[in-house]
Amino acid sequence: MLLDLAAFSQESGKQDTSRAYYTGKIQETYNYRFGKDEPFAPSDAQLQGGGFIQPGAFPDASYCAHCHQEAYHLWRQALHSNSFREPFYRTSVNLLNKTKGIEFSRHCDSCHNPIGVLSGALTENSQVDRKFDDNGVTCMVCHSIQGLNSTSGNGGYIMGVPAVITDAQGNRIPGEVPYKEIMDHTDRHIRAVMQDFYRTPRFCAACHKANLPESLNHFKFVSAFTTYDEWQNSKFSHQNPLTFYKGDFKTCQDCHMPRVQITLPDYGAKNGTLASHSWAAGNTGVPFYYGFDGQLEKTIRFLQSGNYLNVDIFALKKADSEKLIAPLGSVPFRLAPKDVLDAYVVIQNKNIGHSFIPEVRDLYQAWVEFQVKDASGRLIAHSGFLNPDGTLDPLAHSFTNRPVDENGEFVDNHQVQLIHSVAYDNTIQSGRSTLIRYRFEVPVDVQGPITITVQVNYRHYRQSYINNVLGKTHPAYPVVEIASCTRVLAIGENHPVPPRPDDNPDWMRWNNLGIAYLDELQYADAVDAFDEVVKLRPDYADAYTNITVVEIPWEKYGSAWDSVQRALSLSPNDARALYYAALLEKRAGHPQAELADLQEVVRQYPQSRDARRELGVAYYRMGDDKQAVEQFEALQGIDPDDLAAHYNLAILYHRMGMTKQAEAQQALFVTEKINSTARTLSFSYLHENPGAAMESIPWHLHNLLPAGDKNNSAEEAKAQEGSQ
Amino acid sequence: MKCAMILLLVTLLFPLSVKAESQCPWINKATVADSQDTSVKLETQATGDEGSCLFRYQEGKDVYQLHITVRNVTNSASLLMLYESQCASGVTRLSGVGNEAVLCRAKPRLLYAVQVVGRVRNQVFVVYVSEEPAKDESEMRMSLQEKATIAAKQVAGNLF
Repeated sequence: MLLDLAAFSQESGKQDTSRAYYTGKIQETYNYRFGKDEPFAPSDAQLQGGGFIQPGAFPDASYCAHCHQEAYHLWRQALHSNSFREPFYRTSVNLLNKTKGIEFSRHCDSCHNPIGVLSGALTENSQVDRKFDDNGVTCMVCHSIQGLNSTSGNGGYIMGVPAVITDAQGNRIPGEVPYKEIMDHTDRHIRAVMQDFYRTPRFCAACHKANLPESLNHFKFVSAFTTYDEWQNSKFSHQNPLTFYKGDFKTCQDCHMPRVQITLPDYGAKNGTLASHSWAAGNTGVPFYYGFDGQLEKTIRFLQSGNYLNVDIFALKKADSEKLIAPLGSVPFRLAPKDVLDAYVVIQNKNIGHSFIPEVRDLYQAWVEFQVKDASGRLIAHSGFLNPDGTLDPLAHSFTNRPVDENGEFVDNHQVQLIHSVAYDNTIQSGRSTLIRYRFEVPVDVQGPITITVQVNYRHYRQSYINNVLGKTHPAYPVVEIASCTRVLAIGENHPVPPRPDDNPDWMRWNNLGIAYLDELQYADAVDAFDEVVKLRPDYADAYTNITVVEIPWEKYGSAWDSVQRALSLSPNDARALYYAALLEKRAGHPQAELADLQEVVRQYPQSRDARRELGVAYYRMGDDKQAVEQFEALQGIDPDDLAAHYNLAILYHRMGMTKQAEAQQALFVTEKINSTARTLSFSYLHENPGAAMESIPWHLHNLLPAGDKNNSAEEAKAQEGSQ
Repeated sequence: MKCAMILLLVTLLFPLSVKAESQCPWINKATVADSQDTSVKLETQATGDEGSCLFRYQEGKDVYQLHITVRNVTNSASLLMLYESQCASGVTRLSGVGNEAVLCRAKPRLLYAVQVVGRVRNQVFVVYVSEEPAKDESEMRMSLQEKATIAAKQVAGNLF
């Protein structure tokens, strides 16, 4: 047996030689546009041993399938295996290839087609056999990664030479070996194909975070998506003290790779279960295209499970009154024909460990459908409908964004290299809520009761993109209802009703309203909402801290201080309250108290980027450069792209005589800082698109009154005015 | 002086242009062949977004011909039907290849051949693979079907 492995070791020596030969051949014609030392740029991918690697060095998935049938079967339908070949990706990347050159696609393909990048196939007139395109992120892509660069994403992995077994000393033996060898040395197989970090969110960050570097867009660093950061800032990471709610620790893998019962033989299974290699998430488009019914059904089930969103028809406000009828279901009120009502809908990103919707939200489509019907079934108001051609009501409330190019035109087809600005971005971050208001009139001849239904719908992808990819004649792509809420309201008296099983308790409903008001810059209303939380739960320290969170940007520092002290009296060492207390102490000129509070926050939450940043600034202001550097360096360990860290380290390194490091930080600050002039590009887009303009205003109203009545709406007039 | 410079430039560039390897826009030679050692000849080369590529290669005693045609049309349905009418038997719908695609045995010509006829938006493509000398039909069918499907996936992927 040992002799056999020795033979394979010799074989690995031959592979080294053939890899060197292969690298030499590729180098003859390879386009090193981004420099000889950065063959895979504009991505951050690295390959151990340098050079390039033969596609055949990656054992085919069918080889793994011999012993891992369940994993193979799940993977084949999953997004990872189809990451390159599927048409919604190809349309976008083909455009990049045609307009800029195939070498630029290394940026995208480091994650969509890693073998293509690392084998040097992504260069003009390549003669690399591309049969691997069919397998995208194949088994031995993930299971060969030996390290991670940082949490900057862009394919920030360090790929090793694929090996399915090691020798007795732990040296990796490249290539395929007979299955018997693996079965005789399963410990060595595991050592070759598994790493502890595979189970951590940092592993996912390599591809689930991205930026657009200057080498790609010839403009400047633009943050693309930050799913890892969103998780790190969520309650699930236990790394951020500033979340509005607390929750159990959960990783990406906990939600997207839960253990599932196996239906096919798989030696990787434990007690009949295996970490799912379906990675169910939101993509219904690709399984629908391929006819992968299993994956489609899992994805829909996933989207509808987990209590991810909470939809709350929270309040009504009559147009002729300032009084909020809230929370609906808990208070009595009266409705009459001809009442003009504003419905207050609060949508909470309750249990998603990242934003809703995450990543390439210019391609995905999630929106709110709001309907009011009377007892006869007559539609009184409707927003968020689909037109007969499948396109979405342009005035729908949509959780999307609109990237624009240097001319202020919408960047269609996910041509990320053209993005200069984002006209608006209506995502809901993890744990936060948004308030959407709809105005409608109860008809004079209404047949009561009326039913208000609000649902959050999701379609992967937006209709116009599906049309761009497949042409206008294609089957209708699935629309999934993720969450909904219905309230039936009598014409006449309405009495309180018992809460339904999925309803948040009233204190939380008010709390979510307060959070939504805060994010929509309605500070007075936010404080009022949090005051209601205090009334319902005077023991809840966070309710007082929430008031402080609002009052700091509102510049009501005295009141903010009182509230945070109330929070600390209830929960003396609460890190969240201490953080905001420190901000107030800084403003009041009490640096020692500020420092002590921030030190305590960092002690409790060493991965808190906000606390590290503030502590670094505090040390900086006190003249303790060494401690300041320590904090900013720690901050960069958490977020390599933190602007405050770049800025302050540039100054501090310069002071310390570390000129090279100072220059590097300065350069990073210059490219990564927000380009304030780019924002102006959004204006022409918003000017041309009134629906988007309205959505871009945090505090807006969806006026569903008949057209003739709309002019009477002062609030909408104000909104329209703001969009000019 | 200026003319001499231009002449020199043309003289320097000319050998490069004649040496430039011919390419098919939708698939490369390495992907056409089963093995790295196979020498594949590209005999007709499309230019732009439509046209034809004809590859010929030999694996052992078997000689293969892979012919790809792409046409950009306004009425893709009728052209697709026309091409599909060239199917002799065994029409199989391929999922996940373009908007739609079928795999079939091509109507008997001189050679045994398999073809994939498909569409990406309004671009209709045909991938035609033949082999000679003729041998056991079921063996040939399997091999040609696989070659045609691999090539069709590459073509469709590049047409999106």
